[in-house]
Amino acid sequence: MFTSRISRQFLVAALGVSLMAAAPAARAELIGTQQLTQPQPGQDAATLAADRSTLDHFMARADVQAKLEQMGLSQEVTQQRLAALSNAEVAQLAGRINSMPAAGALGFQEMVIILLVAILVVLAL
Amino acid sequence: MTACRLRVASQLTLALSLLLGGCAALPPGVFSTAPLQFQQGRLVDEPAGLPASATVAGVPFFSDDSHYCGPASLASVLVFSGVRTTPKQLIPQVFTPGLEGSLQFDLLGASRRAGRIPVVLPPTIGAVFEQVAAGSPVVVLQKVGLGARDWHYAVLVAYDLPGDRVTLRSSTARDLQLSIEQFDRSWAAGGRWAFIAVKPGQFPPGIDELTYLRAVAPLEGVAPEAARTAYEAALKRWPKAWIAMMGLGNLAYARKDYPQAAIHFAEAARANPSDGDPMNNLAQALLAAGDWKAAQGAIEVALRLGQPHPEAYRSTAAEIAKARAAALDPTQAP
Repeated sequence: MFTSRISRQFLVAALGVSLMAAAPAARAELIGTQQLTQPQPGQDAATLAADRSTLDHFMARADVQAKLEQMGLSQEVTQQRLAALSNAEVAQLAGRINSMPAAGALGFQEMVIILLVAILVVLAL
Repeated sequence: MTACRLRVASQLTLALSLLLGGCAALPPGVFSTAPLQFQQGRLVDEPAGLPASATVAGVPFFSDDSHYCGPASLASVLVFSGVRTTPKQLIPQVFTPGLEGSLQFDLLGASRRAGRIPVVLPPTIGAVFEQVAAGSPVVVLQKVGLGARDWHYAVLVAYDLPGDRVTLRSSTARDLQLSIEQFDRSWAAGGRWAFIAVKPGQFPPGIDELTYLRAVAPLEGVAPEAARTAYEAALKRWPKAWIAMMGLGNLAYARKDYPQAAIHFAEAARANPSDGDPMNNLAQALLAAGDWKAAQGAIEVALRLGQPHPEAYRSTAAEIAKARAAALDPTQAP
């Protein structure tokens, strides 16, 4: 379904956010300290890399950037805030977004607004 | 008292009403229906040895009569712990203009950027009072007023059980006094969310090794020196804390000091010889330092241990094999 595809795209992006927020251990094969302190084992290296590229594409979208600017957050500020988040915090948010009510009674436009604001909230945290 | 509401454009109201739980990151099941923790003059589940009253002296106050309770509260605890900052300097880091408010995780993120370790407290009055008694002011999220989004941050600096009082640095009040029940009602409505900003080298009372290291690890990227100080302090307190050794190794790796990283990873491997992760990272550090032979020896140990991240070990092994092939290839020899 259209809406569920958007949700999934969004969720993947949100998970990608958590990876970007990780310490600058850019190599997927180096086990990060945050991975070691998580209650559950983290994702494997392949998922990390795929999510990262998905997020890069998402963030490059003009409509996402426009929404952030509209909320008073420049790209620079967004990136800085993002870097200070823990993986666990973003994963927690991604989980909440995932549990948002499915489209159901909501129209497509509303769904898009919700998702964009959700992305913003994740980024703004 | 309602200093910073989150007001939003009407088209976003629906979205936010769905999301506030998300942006506030409320633990499930602890909304205002949660039972009060102070009943008939007694604290439920009072921590052993909690003093009857306590005050943290010298917590600065930044008055705010607009939407900046987030920056003001954060500045209060950061300045108290020795950071040179002001609410104005913190606004770009924590305030979201489109929401006319500050989100909880922005406060945590800004604490990290200031080199302080944010520790979110268990949602009990006892846990908060314990921190105050130990000398830490506590940032609390309250719901004030009847509006759906009347969220407010304040700093709890004192409590008095026999006198039934708490004292907060709040909006324009330097010493706002509330009864403990009043406070608990406003606090419970926001899921009893509270945090302290810990200076590296200091330890909140009763904190365990893993909770501490989990709080420190996200500092690595934004405040590496603070993270290093915290890991070193953790190792003095818990000499076998292998995750702290891994943290020091990852910090060294991030600043491209591969020999130093290898030393830390080797120490971690010695402290936790049944786990493959230290050997994997040791192999990575040795490879980055240009010693593929030693790297191969290390990754073989990780592969033999096999847990808990076997896929990472296999990728590391493949990388080493590539480096080895390049090194042994006569066409590429110097």
